[in-house]
Amino acid sequence: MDGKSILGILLLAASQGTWLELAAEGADEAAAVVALAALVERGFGEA
Amino acid sequence: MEIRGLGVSPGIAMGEALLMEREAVPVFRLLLPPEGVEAEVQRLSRAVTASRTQLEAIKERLSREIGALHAYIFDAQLLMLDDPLLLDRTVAVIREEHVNAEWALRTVSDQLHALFEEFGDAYLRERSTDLDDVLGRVQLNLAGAADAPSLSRLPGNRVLVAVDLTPSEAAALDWERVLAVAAEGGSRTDHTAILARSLGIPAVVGLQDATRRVPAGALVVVDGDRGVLVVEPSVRALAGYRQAQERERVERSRLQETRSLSAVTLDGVAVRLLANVEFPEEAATARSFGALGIGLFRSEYLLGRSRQWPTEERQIEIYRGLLEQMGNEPVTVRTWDVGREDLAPGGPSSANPALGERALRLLSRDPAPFRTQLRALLRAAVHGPLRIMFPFVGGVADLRAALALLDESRDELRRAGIPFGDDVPVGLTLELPSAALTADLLAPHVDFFSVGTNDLIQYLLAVDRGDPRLAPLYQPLHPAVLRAIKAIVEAASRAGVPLALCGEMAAEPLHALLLLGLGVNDLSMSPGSIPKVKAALRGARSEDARRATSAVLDLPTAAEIEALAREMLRSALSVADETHDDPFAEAGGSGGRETAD
Repeated sequence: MDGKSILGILLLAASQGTWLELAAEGADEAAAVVALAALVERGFGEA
Repeated sequence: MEIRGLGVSPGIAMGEALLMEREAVPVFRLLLPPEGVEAEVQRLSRAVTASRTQLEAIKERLSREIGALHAYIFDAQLLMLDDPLLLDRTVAVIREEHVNAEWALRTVSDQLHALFEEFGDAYLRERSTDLDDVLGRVQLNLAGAADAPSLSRLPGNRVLVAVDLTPSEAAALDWERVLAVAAEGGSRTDHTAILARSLGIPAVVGLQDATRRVPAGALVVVDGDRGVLVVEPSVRALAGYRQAQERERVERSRLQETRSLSAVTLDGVAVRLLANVEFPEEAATARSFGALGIGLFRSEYLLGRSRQWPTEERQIEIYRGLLEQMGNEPVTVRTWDVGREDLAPGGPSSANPALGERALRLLSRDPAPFRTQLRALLRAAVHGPLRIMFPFVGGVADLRAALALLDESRDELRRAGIPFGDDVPVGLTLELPSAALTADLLAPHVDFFSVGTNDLIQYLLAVDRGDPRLAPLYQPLHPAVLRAIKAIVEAASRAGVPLALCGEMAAEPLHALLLLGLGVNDLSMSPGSIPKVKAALRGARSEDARRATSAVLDLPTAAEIEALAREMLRSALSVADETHDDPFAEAGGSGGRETAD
């Protein structure tokens, strides 16, 4: 799923407890994955 | 393939199907020529740009007025708007299927919706409302564009295949560009059906899933006589339909000829043939069938589905419209003929509504709606020969109450300095046995009588006319009915009150001739029956009709009356048999048509 597609993300139907696999490619790929994982861990700031 | 429905406007037409889907705005499926595809992609792109500008403006305004937090909703919508899952796929559908942007967008949104539906999580499922909002906005921007297809700007000469048409859509539709209408929803009495009949455009409704089952651009035949939609007919079937269509054209031109003929018997007695109508749009139909006015306008139509009494101004507009459409021929408006159960469905009602609280009997409960209607009628009468008719009058006491209210209304208008027709003829429907038996007592109070045979027969014979099991007992030629009409004619004639008759009895040539024999020269019926009755009258001698009537009046049963009258009036009736009830009737019954299912 393309992370830039909001519909794509929605269509993952990832409710709490769903396993997510993050992948990134590019110059800052490692930093991007760490940042995204942290975002999920924080509950997107909503918790 | 043949899809069965209900024919609501007769006739046959064939052509390429133009599909219309129900959206916030109607969505048509149009096939584009290959060279038009890139322009369509551009059109989509302009609509998306317009949508983006609007969303950004909304977001900006919200953050200013309510705070940035709520504006985030529109961030999500803006992201959806540019989402490749939506935009790229829509462009792909336009390019691959050569369809218009509206349809492509709809196809993609259907696919996305199907995915959303699968979500187990209600919270996630509800996110589809944001998507709907975005899609609706893009559709509106596509529709708002000057080059969008719309009901008033359709490609010409197509058969419109729709889910349904709302009254406003039916009004907006450019009917001249439509060969026929096929719809999934609808009924015989909705506006689409009435407009189609008035304009002579074949229409079939109740066609289940038609918009899904008809491929865009397919050749279809709408057979309004049999109530079917034929999709991609065989060559032989198509030839059969072409012949039927040609027969219709010939019939129609024959109708045009009878329209201008007058209804005069061989021995020179003139009969006035008028129309019973329920919807204002039917006035045009009435004229096309040669009606010399409207003998009965059933004003209850104005209550509509909402069961709301219409305002005075709205009524004036409708009554004035009727007068204008009838070109200075008289228009008789029957005042509210509704039962209490019609006004509040499910509310308190009588065990026997036909004998219950209805029409003028509601006046003592609440005179306001009657007052409004009478004021509207009086005011509309400045525009032409309007006549007011009170239904369901059971005797002089009822009539006095109605006339008193009419006088009050006149006084009110006069005091307020509002112009109104001062000399509007006022009459009543003779439909209750109590009124028929006291016609002589009622006569001094009115300017005209109209015998309402539909109800008179029901009440005289105690036969519910809505009950199909009793249909054989509903006998217009029952001796009691003929005697009652005879007594009414005599009372009216003695009092010098003009007499008319409105009811489907008048639509039957044999009955119409007997009514002429009884001395009724003013008949109002459904518009489509006028040519047939006119033909019978033109082929008859009034002297023969009178002789037949006096011969049958003493016979004991309806069956014997009918047999003798038919025998005595044979020659005039054979003329009527050659004239069809309806100009398209023959086409429907023709054989030699085959349809592949």
